[in-house]
Amino acid sequence: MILAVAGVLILVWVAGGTATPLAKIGDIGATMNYAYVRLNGTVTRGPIYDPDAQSIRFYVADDTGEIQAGAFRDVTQELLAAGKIPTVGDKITMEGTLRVRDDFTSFNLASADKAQIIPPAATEIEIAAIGYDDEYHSVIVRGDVRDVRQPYQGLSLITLGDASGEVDVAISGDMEKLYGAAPSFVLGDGVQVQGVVTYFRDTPQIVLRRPGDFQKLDVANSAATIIPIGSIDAARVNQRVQIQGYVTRVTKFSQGVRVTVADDSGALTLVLWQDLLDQIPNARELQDGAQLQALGQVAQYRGELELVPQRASDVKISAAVAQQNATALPNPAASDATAAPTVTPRPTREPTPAPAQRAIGALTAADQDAWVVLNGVITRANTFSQGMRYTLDDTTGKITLLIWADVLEKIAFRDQLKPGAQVRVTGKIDVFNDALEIIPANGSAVELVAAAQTSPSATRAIGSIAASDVDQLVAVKGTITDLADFSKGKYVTLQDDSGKIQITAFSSVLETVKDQLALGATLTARGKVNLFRGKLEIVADELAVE
Amino acid sequence: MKGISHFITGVAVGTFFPDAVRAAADGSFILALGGIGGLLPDTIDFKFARFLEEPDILIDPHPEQFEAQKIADEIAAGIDRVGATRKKQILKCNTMRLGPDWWQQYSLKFDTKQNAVVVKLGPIVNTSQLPLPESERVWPEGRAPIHTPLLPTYGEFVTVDIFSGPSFALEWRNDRVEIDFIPWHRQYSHSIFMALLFGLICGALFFLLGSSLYVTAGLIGAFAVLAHVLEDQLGYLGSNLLWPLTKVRSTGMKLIHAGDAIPNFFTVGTCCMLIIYNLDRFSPQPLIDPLVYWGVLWLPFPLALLYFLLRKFRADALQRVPLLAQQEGDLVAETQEVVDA
Amino acid sequence: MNTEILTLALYALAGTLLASLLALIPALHVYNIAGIFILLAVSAQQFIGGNELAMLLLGMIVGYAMLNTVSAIFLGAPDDSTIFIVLPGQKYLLMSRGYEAAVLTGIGGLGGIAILIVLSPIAATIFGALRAIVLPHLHWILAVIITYMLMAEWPKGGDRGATGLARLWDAWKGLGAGILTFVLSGLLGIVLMYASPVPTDRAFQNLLPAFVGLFAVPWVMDNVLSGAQIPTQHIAKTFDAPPSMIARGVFSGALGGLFAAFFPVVTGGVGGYLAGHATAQRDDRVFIISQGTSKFLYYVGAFWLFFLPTARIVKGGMSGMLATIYTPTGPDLYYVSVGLIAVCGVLSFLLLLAYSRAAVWLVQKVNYRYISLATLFLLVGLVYFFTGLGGLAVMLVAIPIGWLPVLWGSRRMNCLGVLLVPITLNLAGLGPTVAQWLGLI
Repeated sequence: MILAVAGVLILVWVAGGTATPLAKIGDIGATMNYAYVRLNGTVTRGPIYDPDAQSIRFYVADDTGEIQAGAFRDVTQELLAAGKIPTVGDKITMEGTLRVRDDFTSFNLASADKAQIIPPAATEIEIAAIGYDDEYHSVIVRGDVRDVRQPYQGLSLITLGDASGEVDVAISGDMEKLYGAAPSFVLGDGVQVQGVVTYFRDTPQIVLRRPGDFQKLDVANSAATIIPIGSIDAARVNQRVQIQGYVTRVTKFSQGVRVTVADDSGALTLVLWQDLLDQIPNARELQDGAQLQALGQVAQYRGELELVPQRASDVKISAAVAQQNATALPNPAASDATAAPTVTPRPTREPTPAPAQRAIGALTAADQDAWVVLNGVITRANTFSQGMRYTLDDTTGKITLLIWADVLEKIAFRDQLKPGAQVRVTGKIDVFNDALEIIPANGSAVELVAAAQTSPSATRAIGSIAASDVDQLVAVKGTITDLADFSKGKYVTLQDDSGKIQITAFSSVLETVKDQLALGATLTARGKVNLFRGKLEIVADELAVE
Repeated sequence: MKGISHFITGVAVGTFFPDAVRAAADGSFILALGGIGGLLPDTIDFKFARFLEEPDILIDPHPEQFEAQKIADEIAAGIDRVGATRKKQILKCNTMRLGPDWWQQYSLKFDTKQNAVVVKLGPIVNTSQLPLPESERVWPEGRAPIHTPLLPTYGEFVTVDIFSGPSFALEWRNDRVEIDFIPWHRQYSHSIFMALLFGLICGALFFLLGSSLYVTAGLIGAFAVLAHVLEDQLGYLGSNLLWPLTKVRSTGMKLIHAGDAIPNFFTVGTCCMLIIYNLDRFSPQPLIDPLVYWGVLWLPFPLALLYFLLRKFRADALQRVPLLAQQEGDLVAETQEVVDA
Repeated sequence: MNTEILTLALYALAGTLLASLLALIPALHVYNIAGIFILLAVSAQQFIGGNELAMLLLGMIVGYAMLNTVSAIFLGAPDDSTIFIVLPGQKYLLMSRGYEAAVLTGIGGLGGIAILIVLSPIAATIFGALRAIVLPHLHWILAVIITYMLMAEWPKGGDRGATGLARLWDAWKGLGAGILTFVLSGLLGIVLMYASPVPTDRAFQNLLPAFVGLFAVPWVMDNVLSGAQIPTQHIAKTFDAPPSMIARGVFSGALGGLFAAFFPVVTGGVGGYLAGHATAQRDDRVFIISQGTSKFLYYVGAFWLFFLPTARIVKGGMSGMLATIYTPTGPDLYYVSVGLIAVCGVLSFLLLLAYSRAAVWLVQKVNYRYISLATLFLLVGLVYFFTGLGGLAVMLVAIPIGWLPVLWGSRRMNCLGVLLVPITLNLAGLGPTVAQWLGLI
């Protein structure tokens, strides 16, 4: 008995005096399953915080590889209480247990005490100077807010610009769950942002670590209000301003178009580069008399002042016909468009030939730019940042029906544009990534021939799905709270106010949305209810990210 | 009931408290209180009370010099002494251990028809009470007459073999000596008082630990002990439910014996199903369809119990065994169950 | 597909034959050999496909689950799942009926195969749902099992003593030794989990030295020191167990084995022990049969759950190791695995009969003390081979703990604290806290 007690005490004493072995992430293999080790590295993603499961996950990389690390329940609470939340950019030394699986290796943090975190020191930098050397380093940039978008719920991207360039600032929903919302701002506000540089598909972005790292600067917001064109002078060069007026002239040049915009106070040339022009959904409405609002940077070219917008969303065009009742248009030639449709304000363009009804299967790349009428059934619907992509099928073939957001807004029955609906579309054929697309120019170009039959997979509250629904087709909509890979696809955990469910999405289904799937995104999933490992899941037939 | 039946019943009792189940899912051990409460009454008896009992007549035989007549004489004299002095005597029979797994069995009988005590040597048995073949020795039986009226009681031989031997309370009641088998068992430990006491202790413990669930903890502890006591009431010998108001063990419902396989299996199976059902019921997303669960999956358990009860009532009708014998048989079964667990 | 199945079957049968050779080496756990295979497979994945490796290991585990009884009964070298068989097994051995005991465990194993086949179509639904329900509750369920194990150990002494307190002390000596065994082995388990002297690149064999020290070495040393003489063994033509007894044993063992296969940390022995209590079994033969079934289902059942098409459950050392490099897919493979379990199981049973006869011959021809000594050297060699000097140190600490039940007559099951304590604490989120109290991290 004495031997037994003494033996254990000695072992405890010796083991307690031995340092936890340091492991390199790249060396972790099958034989190290359950090993208690120390890891050194940099936090490369995260924190991903789930208040329900009381978990914080983050990714850590050293010079040999990257691993997902996690804290659960008590350890999460300890981390929160101690304010030691591993955040992208942090240098971290941590101890915990390795879990090695064929398809996934992870690290469970032992306790909050076992995580030593050194936050990165920030350096001030011009946006254009941000490069790969700055990855996972903290930087401070100053500029004005030029765009705000939300690719999915849980991620806001703020485009920040200074004189040298632009960069996206990523604000994650997890950060806001942990620390509260970032300060409010409007377009054009001058701000200072401190964050960590990461790369998203070779493009740098700054990830905000704390809400307090986003500060509004006390400078005038020249872009937030529309200023008279006549007030723009050389002193405004390099500033961003917003103007509103009507188009008096459109001139093509090799790399885009120059548009002369006038208001009561004066006129200014607007330079639209071709790539930006291509992204403006209703660019074809850019014609004399059209109403135009543009936000851009003032430049001087050969002594002339120009306004150069930097993104398509900075340019808003209202068709000339819509302006007929507008006040005091100096170009009366455009005002009778409705009354006399043959007198179109397009003197420089050929009349558009009447579009012909075509079979989808008969369309080829040679039909690019042709105006056609297609009749088919929508078999798939996916959102993207500027509109919707549908797959149209007329039994002879399939084509992508691309409807820009502004066109979609004008379609009253847009909610009925879903798989199963039969539509007749008039639009221009385009080729994008070697695939044919038809792009309707306006809302009236899309007609609903027959609505989709009410499918058994009408959207339901997640919590209402029960074991009795197994093998039934359902649709659910919610926020993505977890994503995990498996060999043939992804497990997506979807949550709404009523509950959580796992969506099993095989690669074929993921294809259309794989770039949009991210934590916090709002996802609609349709598929069959299944019981998997005792839990209800939906095996997705179709996914759509909003 | 066997220990595991009591234990699992206690755990099942705890799962009827939704807040306890939710706390358990979040890392609490509160439901273990039910198990502890479920086994507490027997723990008190078999781990403490039995050793604190002071025997007046101690039978401690030697396997090589087994004196059956002397033992019988000692016991008979003890009974006569109770008759003469009206004072209670505790008789304790020690076992004879031969090796790690071997025991020399002997047995004794209070022969109320002949008014005598009979003692005889048995075979060598292992800890599972299986006799070693050809180990029974031819040995003279001991028989001593009793000169005091004795309550007709367990007519069969009581065997003394493994671990700790039985004890008997010899007490003068109603102008005769009554023999209580294993008198330290099912007394205060199997009472409503104990249920309340353990409930209070659990509640106080959780309160001191700063848990908001102290009321639930108290209720789980109390109900778990109570469940044990009530389950024992299903047997032939009940418990001293109202201790300290009452001094004697009551009669049970005479439905089962403690060692009966099917009722124990029914209890364990049903409790396991109840536990799973309650864990599911109080989870955020229940999976179990009650109709299938209880209507189909549980069905074998009540059917088995029904079969057992029918067979038992038929057997009871054919073979009438005195209640006292049944009660003592129950205690024998429970003692055996406890010692070889 | 047929060729593919045939190939898989050949791998499985090869695994069984390999395990049958290894099962003769006392205390050489199949997981150690599987560990070598995993190590080899990691570096040679281009030579053997995932499914082939999985079936090879399946054959091995079936063979081992059936045949490890031989070394447990005849050589007295148990592991964590056979500790409950050694006592009745050696009792049978001393009664010249060692062969019969081995065959009874084999019959239990065959019963286990039948249970697996019957359950295979519905296992995914049942175990999947059960897992989902109990997953958040594992910590307290394990705590409840520990509580029962400790509370249901009843005093074996206490008859003799002048006073009540003296008798109480006499009774509680054994109980106290049992609790001490549990606590010490639990501490050992915590050390192994957080500051193991075993090198980190051998972490998956962390528990090997502890198991050998806690279970195998004390028993073998006891055999060496006591110089036990094995009487002439009788090869029975029939076994002394009527069908109803077999049915009771298999039923009880199946409950325990499936419980152990499903629940983390619970071993076949503990599962069988709990189920034996639940079904009120008392006969030695029923007990041995039930332990045979329970042990078989514990090893094979846990591995079988790994192949469940929609509810893959990683439980047990073998699937735990395999899961680090392989993921099974599809119902076809699942049903192939069920079929191969049956084929390999029957082959293993036939081998059991032959090996038991060989073991009978061995223990009669060679001095049992020499066999035990050879076993002891082998055990030490194995621990050194797999876990180095650090592992030997762990084994040396574990041996005195494993001796406590031998000396004090308490339960050997208490040594399972080495698994139960750290895992329960971890599941409750308390593991690191306790490790910090102990100054381990």
